[in-house]
This record gives sequence, structure tokens and C-alpha cells, in this order.
Amino acid sequence: MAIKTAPRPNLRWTDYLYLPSILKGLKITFSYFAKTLLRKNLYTMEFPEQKWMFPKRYRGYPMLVQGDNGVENCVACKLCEVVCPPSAITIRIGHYNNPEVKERIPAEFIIDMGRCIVCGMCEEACPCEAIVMSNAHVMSSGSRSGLIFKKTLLLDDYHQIPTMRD
Amino acid sequence: MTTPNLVKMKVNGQEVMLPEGKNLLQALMEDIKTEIPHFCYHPGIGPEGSCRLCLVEVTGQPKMATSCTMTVKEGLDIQTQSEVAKDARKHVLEFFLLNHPLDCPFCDKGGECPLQNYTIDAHQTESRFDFAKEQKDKHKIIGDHIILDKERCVLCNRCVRFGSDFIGKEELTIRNRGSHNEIDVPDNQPLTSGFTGNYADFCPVGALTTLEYRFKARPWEMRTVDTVCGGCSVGCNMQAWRKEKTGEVLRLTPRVNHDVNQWWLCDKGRFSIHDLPAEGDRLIEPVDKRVATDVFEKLFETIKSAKAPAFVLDQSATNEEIYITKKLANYSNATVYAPFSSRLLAFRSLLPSTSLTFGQSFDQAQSIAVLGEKLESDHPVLSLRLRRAFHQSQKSIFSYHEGENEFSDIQSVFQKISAKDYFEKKPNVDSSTLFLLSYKWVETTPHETLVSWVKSLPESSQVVLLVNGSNEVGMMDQATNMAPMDEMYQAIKNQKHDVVVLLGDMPQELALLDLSHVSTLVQTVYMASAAHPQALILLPRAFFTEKTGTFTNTFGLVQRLRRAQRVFDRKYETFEWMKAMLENFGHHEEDVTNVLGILSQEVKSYPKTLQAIVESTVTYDHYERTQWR
Repeated sequence: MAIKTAPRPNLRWTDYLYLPSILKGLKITFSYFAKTLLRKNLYTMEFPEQKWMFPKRYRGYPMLVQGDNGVENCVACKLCEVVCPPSAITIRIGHYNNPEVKERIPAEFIIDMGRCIVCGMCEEACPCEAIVMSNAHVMSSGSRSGLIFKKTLLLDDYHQIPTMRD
Repeated sequence: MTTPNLVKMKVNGQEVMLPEGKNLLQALMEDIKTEIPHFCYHPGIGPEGSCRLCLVEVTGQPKMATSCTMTVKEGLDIQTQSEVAKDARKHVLEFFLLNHPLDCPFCDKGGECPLQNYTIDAHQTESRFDFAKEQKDKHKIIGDHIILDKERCVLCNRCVRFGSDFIGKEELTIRNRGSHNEIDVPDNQPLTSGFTGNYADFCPVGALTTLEYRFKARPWEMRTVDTVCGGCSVGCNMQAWRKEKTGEVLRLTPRVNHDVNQWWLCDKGRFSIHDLPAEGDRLIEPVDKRVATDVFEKLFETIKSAKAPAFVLDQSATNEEIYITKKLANYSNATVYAPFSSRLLAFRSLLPSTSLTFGQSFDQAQSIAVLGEKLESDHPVLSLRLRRAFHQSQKSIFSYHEGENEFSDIQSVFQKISAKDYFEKKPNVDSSTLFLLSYKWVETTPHETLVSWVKSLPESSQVVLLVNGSNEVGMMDQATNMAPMDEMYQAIKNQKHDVVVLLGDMPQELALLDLSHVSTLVQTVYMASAAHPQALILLPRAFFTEKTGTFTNTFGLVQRLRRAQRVFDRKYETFEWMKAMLENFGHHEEDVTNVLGILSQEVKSYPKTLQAIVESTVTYDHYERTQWR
């Protein structure tokens, strides 16, 4: 293949100074700075106090669903546990006290959010629509153990954030 | 055993050789590995032809035929995978799914369920049934171990036939008609036979499941370990299901061995694992009531300095434990006592050696005579085999003992008779008889009587001695340099031993004796609270699912135990601390390293004594793990 040499641009001495380009860039920066100072067209937000609005189908961290009868939908079939790629889910099977309503519930349902990769495979595997991806996207804690979420916390809509359509 | 006559027939257009007279479904599954769905057929229970799921196309026949009710014959031409056959099976399956609840996520069978597998194989993903499903009783506890879910039942009739053919009583029946058809216990009588766990094994769906395993785990969380039951001397082959995450054994299921337990297990053996104390209560570290640390060092000093130490084995000692105990006793001038009876040992030498396995000699015999015990209470699994032999191959059954007649439901000869009377009268039996002689009668009968009885038997008859302990035959095989238990009681009374090491159960007779002269009593126990008050050193004890080694069963079969779980540290196991102690005594010979080698190696690495035993007996784990359950 033939080698094609690109022609170098013909630069003047002012171009070699670089100063006009720098000033041109700074003009944009300072114009935005002035706009922010005057509270026009904000481009950042005060994050922990203010939250970003996500579309409803946004895939965040998983949560458990409570059924109409007040019991969680989960029957501890352990399919999410086996399908979970980083093994973030741990389930211990338990008996529900009223077998007429439901025979089997998870006695323990733990998701290690530090391991969760938010892939959504648990939601896909679930035969009972018991685990769904919420739109929670912020997980932070001072310790690793703080990221281990137990059943009560997963059932709670602690991390439900108002969505755009709400 | 006669070798089956192979005949030529066509399967899916290909010519194959199959054994003549064999059940066609089983021949297809076993000999040419063709998967054919089936519910009502079970190799142990037999065919019925009611589920219609094993339909195959037969050339020359206008209609489909159930392969489970056909036998292999010359010139048969069948199609198992043709469109017609597949379509027929798919539509039969659709009918099974009409009223079957969608319980799979929380059904104990889910993950190992034939119905689930067949449904997925047939791509039967959608239901065309628009009506409400039949509602039935979903959780009815029908016995100590079994829970019934009527909705899940596919009415394969296996449980009903198992009851009538093997237990002698239809413990479960089918009642009502049409879609109200359901399985139930008659008159709400709970299941009482000692074989209820088998229902959960062969039930093809989750209709009958065990309470012990209910909601414990899912099949894919567990790994199976092939081991042998230590409950009685039959040594049923079983699989221990260990949950990988927690390392605990959740259930025991049978492993097919036609010479031992066939497809079955008794409840006593199967649920024995649940009778163990909870893991938190178990003794997992050695305890010395005098010193806090270095228990084994102290024990070594005690044994070394003792004048007359004694090792007392119990029935659950493996061949390897016996071997190493004897070695250790050699160094410490100790006496080894083992629970075998010298009368049984003497009687066993009378019996002619046979090259037949138990299954073969059972099949050859025209009639079976049980002498001296109720099989159901002492060797339960054998009673299933006897009743089945009557129903299937019309063998005559005789039983002579002092208890109740257990075969009253079938045409059998029973006589309430004592050992003395029996050997005096010698009731007539067929020439080709298999005698199952209980240890109870041998122990209570003078040796001369037994000698004359064995001599009086016709040549074609065979005698199988049924011993008591799970490895009693292994002890008899290694009986040199070991003393039976009776001698121990005498020695304790004579205050002979100053150090006694109990490796296993404390014999009841010993607990009653005065042990105050024993300076150090060492005991292996499951729970510290169960120890003898005078025991100074307590060592943790392993259950048979926690052991590695071999057991020799009452038919002389050397079978391997594999460790399924580990409750306490490896160095506290009897075999391991004995090995360490032997090294302290200065024993560095090859045989001991070989004894250690048996954990991973095959029969050839056995020490010579054991190798001889293994070679003289018939088989060693030669049955493949099969999928029949």
C-alpha cells in the first residue's frame, strides 16, 4: 500500500504563540462561570440533597416485592441464588406459619450489595416476580457489612426514588 | 446365573442385539441408552402400563404400544424417535400437566423431577387448558416421615404397588374417579411400615416427600457421596447428599446394588442421620478431665505406661480401624476386644465357600427359609426382597422363629418354634433352599447340633449367616489377636485392666460393672453428656457418614465408606490419632503408610491382611451409579 503524506498546515507566527486559542477557550469557560454565578442554566447539582430523575425502566439495585397478602412474593426457590454471577445472594428456606396462605418463604434473604453487579439476572430467573430491579443506583456505606442487605431492608422501599414518570 | 440370549431386533431402523425376554423399556434405557419417558414403570416395582408415557411405534401394529409392557423378542422393529411416537408422548404429557400445579419453585422434587425434565424435553411450554385446575389437599402428613401433596400426583401407582408387593399392605390407595382421582391413605391410617422413605425416592413427582428433607435445600446445591449404611449388617449402598455451602448431610438415598439392597432402604438406616445430636451439641474436641491441653500426649503416656491396657471396639469399627487398633495394641501390649461371637466364628468356618454373590444365590434358590428372626426388625431390607420374590418368581417362603409371622399376607409357611426344637425336628424344606440363619439361633445352639444340621442339608442348598453388627464379619475375618466381648467382662470382673479405651458404644453389660479399679477410662462419644461418669478422657466419635474405610457386610462383601461430612478435625479421628501414636511408638513400616493410602487408593494398596479379605470376597463397588431412583 502506498504511503500518503498528509500536508502540514501553514501556520503563521500568531498561531505559534497559542495565546489566541487559550483566550478563545477561556472565553467559553468564563461565560459558563458567569451563567452559574447568576443561576442561569445549571449544569451540576447538589448531589446528596438533590437527586437525578431516572426513567422508570432504569435498572438499579435489586429489591424484593411484597404481595397483596402482606407476605413477600418470594418462595425461596433459590433460582436467583444459583443464577447470580457474583454469588451475591444468600437464601435460607423457611416455613411460613400459615400453610394455607403460603408454604414456603425465605427465612433469610441476603444480598451483598458490595458484590452485586446489577446485571438483572435474578429478576429474569425469578418465577414469582419476587425480586425486581429498583431504580436505586447509589450504594455507599462506611463499612462492608453496611452493604449486606437483609430481607426487611430489601422489602422496604427505602431506595425508591421518584422517577420521571411519577 | 444363565447368560441372557441376545437376539437381533431393530430400534429406529438400526439393528441391535438385546437380551431376549428382558423388559423392552429397560433394555432400551440400559443397553442402548435411549431415553424414554416413563412414570409407572420402575425397575424394582415392575411395569403397569397405566401412564402411557413410554409409547413407541411398532412396525406391523396399527396402534402405539407401551414399551414397558413388552419384552425383547427376535425380529421386533420399533421406532422410538419417529414423529408419530414423539407426538403421541407429547400429547400424553399434556394431559399430565392439565391439573398439575405450578409448584416447581417450592417443590422438593424441583430440579430432579422426571415430569419437569420430560416437559422441558418435549418443549411443552404452554397450556391449552383454560379451565380452573382441580384443587386438592396439598399438605397432608401421612406418617412419621412422609407428607402427601395430592395435587402433584400423576397417579403412576408406584406407591400402591410397592405397598402390595413389598410391604404386604396397600398403605396408599387411589380413590375417586376421573379428574377427582387422588391418592390417599385408606381410613386415614398413617404409614407404619419401616420403609416409608422409599415412597419419596420412587415417586416421580413431588407428591410424596419426606418431612426430614422438606424445604432444606435444592438438588443443585448438593453433591452426592457414595457410601454404605452402618445401621445393620446388610450394609445397604447409599448416597449421602451433602449441602456444599454448609457441609452438612441432608438426606440419604439408596444406591442400586442387586446383591445387597436393590433399590431400597429401610427407614431405620435412612433417617439414622437425623437421630444424631445437633451439631452444636456434638463433642468436637478431645476432653481430658485432668489436664486442659495435649490430650493425646497424655493419652500416649497413659497407654505406654499402663500395665494392661485394653482397646474395646464396637460394631461400627471399619476394617482399617480394626487393623490399626491391633497394630497399636501390639506395641502397647494391650488386649483388643471386639463384639464378635466365637460361636459365630466357629459356625462360619463350617459354611462352604461360594463364588456366587448373594443376589445370584437368591435367584437360584427355589425356596427361602428364614431361621430365627423377624427380618423386618433385624435386617429390614431383606424382607422386601423375600416378599417380592414370592410375588414375582413364586419362590416358597418359610420362616421359623419365636416372634410374630411377618409374611402372613402371602402364601408362606410359618412356625413358631425355638432353636432347639427346630434343629431337633429339622422340618422338611425343598432341596434347593437358601437358609437365612440368624445370629440369635447360632449363639444359643450348641456347636455340635449346628454341625450335624449343616451336614444334613442337601448339597444344592445354601446357608447365609445373618450377623448383628455392621462390620461383624470384618471383625471375624481379622479375629486373630482379638478377644470376644465375653472375655472382656470376665477380665473387668477380675480387675485385669488398668486402662480401658472404648472406641465406640459402651456395651450395656460393661456400664453395669464396677469400673473403680480402672485408673483411666477413655471413651469416644457423640455428646459429652452421654459419657460414662468415670470416663477421664473423652474423644469425639464419628458417625458412619463421617468415616472413610470399608465395612464387610453379612454376605462377605467388602464395601467402601466415603466421608460425606466432617464434624470435627481430622486429627481427632480414631484412625488418625492411632496412626500418630504408632509413629510415637516408633512404627514406620510400610503397612501403616499403606493403611493411610487406602483413603485414596484402590484395593491393591491395602495391607496384606485386608487385601486377602478383599480378594477372597466378590466385589468392590462394581455397580455403576445409575439414574434409577
